[in-house]
Amino acid sequence: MKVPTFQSLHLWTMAPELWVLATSIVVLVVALFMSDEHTLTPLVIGIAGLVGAFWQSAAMLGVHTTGFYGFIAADHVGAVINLVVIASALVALALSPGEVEHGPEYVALTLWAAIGMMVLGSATNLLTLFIGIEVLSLPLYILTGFHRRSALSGEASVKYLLLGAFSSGFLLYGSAFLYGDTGTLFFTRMAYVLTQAPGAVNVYLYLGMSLVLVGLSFKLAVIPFHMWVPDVYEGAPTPVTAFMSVGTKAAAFAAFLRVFLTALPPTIVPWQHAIWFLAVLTMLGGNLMALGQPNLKRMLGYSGIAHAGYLLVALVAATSRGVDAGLFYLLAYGAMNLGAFAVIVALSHGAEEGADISAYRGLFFRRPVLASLMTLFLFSLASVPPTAGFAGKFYILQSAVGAGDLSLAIVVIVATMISFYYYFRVIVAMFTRTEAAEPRAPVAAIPLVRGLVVASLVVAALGTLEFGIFPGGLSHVAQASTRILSGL
Amino acid sequence: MPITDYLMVSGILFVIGTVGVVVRRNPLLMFMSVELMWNAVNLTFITFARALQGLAGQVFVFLVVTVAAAEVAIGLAIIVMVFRNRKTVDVDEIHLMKG
Repeated sequence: MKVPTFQSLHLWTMAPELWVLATSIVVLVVALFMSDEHTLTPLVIGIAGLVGAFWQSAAMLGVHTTGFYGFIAADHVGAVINLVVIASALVALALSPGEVEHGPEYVALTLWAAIGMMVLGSATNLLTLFIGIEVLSLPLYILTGFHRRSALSGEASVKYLLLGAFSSGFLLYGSAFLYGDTGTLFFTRMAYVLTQAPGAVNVYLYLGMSLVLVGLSFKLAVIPFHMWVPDVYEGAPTPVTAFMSVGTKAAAFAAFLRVFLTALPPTIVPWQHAIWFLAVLTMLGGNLMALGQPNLKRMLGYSGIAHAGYLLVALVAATSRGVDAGLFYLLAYGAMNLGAFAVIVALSHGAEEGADISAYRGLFFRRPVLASLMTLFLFSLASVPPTAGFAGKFYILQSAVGAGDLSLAIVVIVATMISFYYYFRVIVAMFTRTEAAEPRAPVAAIPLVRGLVVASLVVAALGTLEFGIFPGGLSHVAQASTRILSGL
Repeated sequence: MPITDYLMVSGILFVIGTVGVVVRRNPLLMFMSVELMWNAVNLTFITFARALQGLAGQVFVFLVVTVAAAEVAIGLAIIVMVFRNRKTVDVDEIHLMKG
């Protein structure tokens, strides 16, 4: 028998996760010795740690191996997901000085959620998948309810907790049946076992697959498993919403890729009809429900649901081009969505922010720069060229057409046209002159806080334009991913 | 004894838990129902591990139990926080399925 040694774990395959974990411990220890509750030291440490982890993840692009005896993947898909997750955590922290005043634990919780997302993005088996989902969910439940005095925040937290645990139940039950059917927890092994017995109609397999699909759909916020999204997005502190809407979605999409392309390849298990249906429902439903929303955070919540639908289109294609398109779309979605939330934070006054669209009326005449940036991000979300959203949507359409699924491509276009209405409604409101000259509220008094908000805005805007104008240079980051996902 | 009997029992437990979450309006009772679902999963895993003569399923159960404990600790804390905010023990009015 092989004796396990420390070296044979290949710790470096988890370098970004371990780096973030170490940072979170430093944050907690420093917080213990802080005399002044209101300093931003924990925040600065957290940001520094994440920058280090970002650099380490970037070094892992193109790697293809596993660590911890095959329990965690160090591959291209995992590295891209890590980059998206770390970037969203960075922006979330940069926007959070107002939240950290409620307690330095905020920083540590954000870092732990990021670790969970990264683990989920690198899962090679059902066990790691479950651990990743729970490690990301538990801190997010607390972060959602971080405004202890706010009834809205607390209720959102309870709702997220109950529905999150409920959906994990489905995921676990499905995992149990997949294990029972194939006798293994590992994705690649599962696909191998299934190819050995083709054509066998198996109750356990289909039950397991459906339950896992339901469980993961909750996490990705796919209609009809989206009921938690609007309330949680509205109730949670805005930086947490930004983090959740990008980080969780990226990690959950990676889980979809790994389960449905590696473990249950469509050539063996025909799941494409089910996910095709979910994708159509999610794209149309998300956009239609976003139409009448008066609250910007809620509206972005529904728009996020619709974007999850576009990601599913890339999955249904089940080609290497589809996976590349999905990963590129995640990068684009990350930049533009984080940017939109950064504007909301920059405009919010104190704890109770006015995220009502009516508050944005005439914004251009009060805050021309912020209004222009918001216009850019909304244009990108509506996928107007030459923005990242357009390039991403183009690749998604290309993958759908390439897979011969014209009807799905048409649904994507129809859904995008619906989305124009509510994104442009905000833009029109911002450029409508109003008589009531509202006092011009400062972004923030402290230079550091102001600098962090400005930095996130600049990064998001550059990302949105860069991915849009030069998609070729960036899409190679998303490429070469599919060799790793066997079954294609 | 065939494993279908055990699977039947765990299936019934899982359905009871699911129905409990959907029907009940009290967060504590809903939370208990979720726990019932998770324990039904544990029973399923043990059954399959036994049938397959494998250890992976049993190891999985240990992790599910651990995570469930963490989930309870956080969940109860959050529910207590909401109790305090509302200055009442009546939290029956959290509508979970309202989009």
